[in-house]
Amino acid sequence: MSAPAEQRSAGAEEAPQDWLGRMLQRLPEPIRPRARDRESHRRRRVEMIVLVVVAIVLAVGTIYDATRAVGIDYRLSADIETWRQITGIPLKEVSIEQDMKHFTKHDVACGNIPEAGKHGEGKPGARTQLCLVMIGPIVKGRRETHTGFFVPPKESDQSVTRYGCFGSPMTRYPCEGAKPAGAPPDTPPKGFEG
Amino acid sequence: MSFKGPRSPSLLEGAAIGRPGGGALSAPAPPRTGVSARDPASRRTPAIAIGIGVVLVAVSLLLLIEASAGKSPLLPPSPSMTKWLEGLGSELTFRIFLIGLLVFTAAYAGLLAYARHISARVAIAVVAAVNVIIFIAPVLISTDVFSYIAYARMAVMHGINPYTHGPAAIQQDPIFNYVGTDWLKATTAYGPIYTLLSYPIAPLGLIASVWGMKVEALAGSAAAMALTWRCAKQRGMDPVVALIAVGANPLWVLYGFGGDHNDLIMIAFMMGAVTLTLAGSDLKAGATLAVGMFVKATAVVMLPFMVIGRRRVSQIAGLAIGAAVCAALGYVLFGVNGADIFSVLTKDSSYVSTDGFPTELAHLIGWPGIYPVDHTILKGLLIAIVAYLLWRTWRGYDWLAASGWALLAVAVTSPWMLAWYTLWGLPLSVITRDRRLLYAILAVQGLFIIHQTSPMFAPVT
Repeated sequence: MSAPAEQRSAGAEEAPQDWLGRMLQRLPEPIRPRARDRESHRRRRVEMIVLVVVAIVLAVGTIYDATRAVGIDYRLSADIETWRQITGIPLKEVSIEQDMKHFTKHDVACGNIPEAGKHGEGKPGARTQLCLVMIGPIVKGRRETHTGFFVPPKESDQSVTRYGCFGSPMTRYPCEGAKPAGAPPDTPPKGFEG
Repeated sequence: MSFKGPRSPSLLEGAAIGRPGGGALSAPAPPRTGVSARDPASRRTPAIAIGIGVVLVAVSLLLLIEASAGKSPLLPPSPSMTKWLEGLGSELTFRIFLIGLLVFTAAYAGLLAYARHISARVAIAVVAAVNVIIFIAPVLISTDVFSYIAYARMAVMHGINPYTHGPAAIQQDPIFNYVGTDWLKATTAYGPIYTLLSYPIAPLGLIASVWGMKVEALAGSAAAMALTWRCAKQRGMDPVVALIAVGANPLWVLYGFGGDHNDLIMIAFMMGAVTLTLAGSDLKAGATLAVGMFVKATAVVMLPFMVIGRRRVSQIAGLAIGAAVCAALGYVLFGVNGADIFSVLTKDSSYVSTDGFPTELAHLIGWPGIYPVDHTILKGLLIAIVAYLLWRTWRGYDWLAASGWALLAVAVTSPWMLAWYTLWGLPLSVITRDRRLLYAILAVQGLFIIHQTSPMFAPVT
């Protein structure tokens, strides 16, 4: 971090030195403290190279991460749109759970399904939820889904709470739960093609 | 639009302003030919610079109005602070905020480019206007200020030690509802001097206590700016450039001051120590830095550079006396945890934020995030950087610049990087002639802003 030749070390050399300063001046030259920074073009060049390399690495990392975040946003948006199209339910709040265990791009989109005698769409997870496993890239604003299941109201998506699985079975999404009494029919949505 | 920049050769190179040198221990730069060297008070500000200043104020006003509507993902749940402005704005959406942030940043860059031609009066007016507007606005982006109030209320109103209990211990207190969910069980991460400074605010009502914290943040921010101005003059540098670089900085204004973060108070103590050093008051300077360390432990980063750079017994004595008094106060009031400011540094470095560079680089190489071993590697890297800077300071490099680099290195290598962490070294960067430090801090801030803008490009569902 060399500085221009006129730079001084915040006045260390200006005021008379106390006994500590005088004592330190008796050290051998290679380790003696200096009052002024000595100009070294070589050192400055090395420091500049290091700084530029660090700047490039940080810039690449930042831009990559920002675009990655945008990509995830688009994917989640496509998940929601796909859920709405397949179920035919214009639900406002569709919950998406990303695969934080295996870090794949498989997302599980869950939303409330209408129930007899209940008005409005309800809070997320307050009613029986229809979940679809989204896989693959976004094509025309939609993602592929070949698997789905139901989750009872106020339950989180776990193997023991899933029931009524439909489509191609996926080992990562086993259905071990039972349909609760009085739950709406667990038939696959009309738009689901498996 | 053609952008005609100023003719000065460099933003920070010292011009002879007023009385160069100022203090007996400053490092005056020789006057340069071809550089705008007029006294800031007698400069005639170019119209374009005034226009840029107006843009800065207008953006701040827009953000104030939109934030006053109350509903926004960028505003933490807060008691209503700006009822009298309700109805003017609609909602501070991510898009509006980020566009505002980008325009603010562009205006800041423009203002910096013209800074050496701007009169002191205009610079002070623009910086004051922007800061007053943000002072009026609701608390932006962070819930930290509610934690500050909660810790104060724990100590004053409930007799609970904030160094051994988190806000979860005062669930019946109205402030509890506003503390961030991640921090409900967290004990205070701040020094006992800061906790003491927040004591007078504790007995006030909910809204008044938030205003009280805002006043403290304003005092910290204004003091930091005033001391930066003074330091720049003491070192024979342009104080207007220094003021604009700090006081109109988008992350300083919108994130640091907008969130009423106590980092600004810590910075004020750091700059107080610097100005005292430059004035030759080593004992007081050491004591002031020690107080800053007991406001927020991060100020400790400056300590070894001050000791090695100055090599004065009186300064070391000041540091020791100040630290001993503050630690004793912390111990008496809060027990051993209140005196131990260093455990906080360890705790902070164990968190991970999405904006941290280590996380971004982990994503770049295909990792889901950073692993525990990476924390150790990052600490090792930081130690190496600090060791190099210390050696350079020992051999004559400006200890203020070295402190600034070290503070920047702490922020960049920390997995828990927040916008206001990039502010720590900013005032130091404008009073040192190694202008690479300022450019490095601005570059890091620029990258932070780029990373923040990703929601702007996300689809609206």
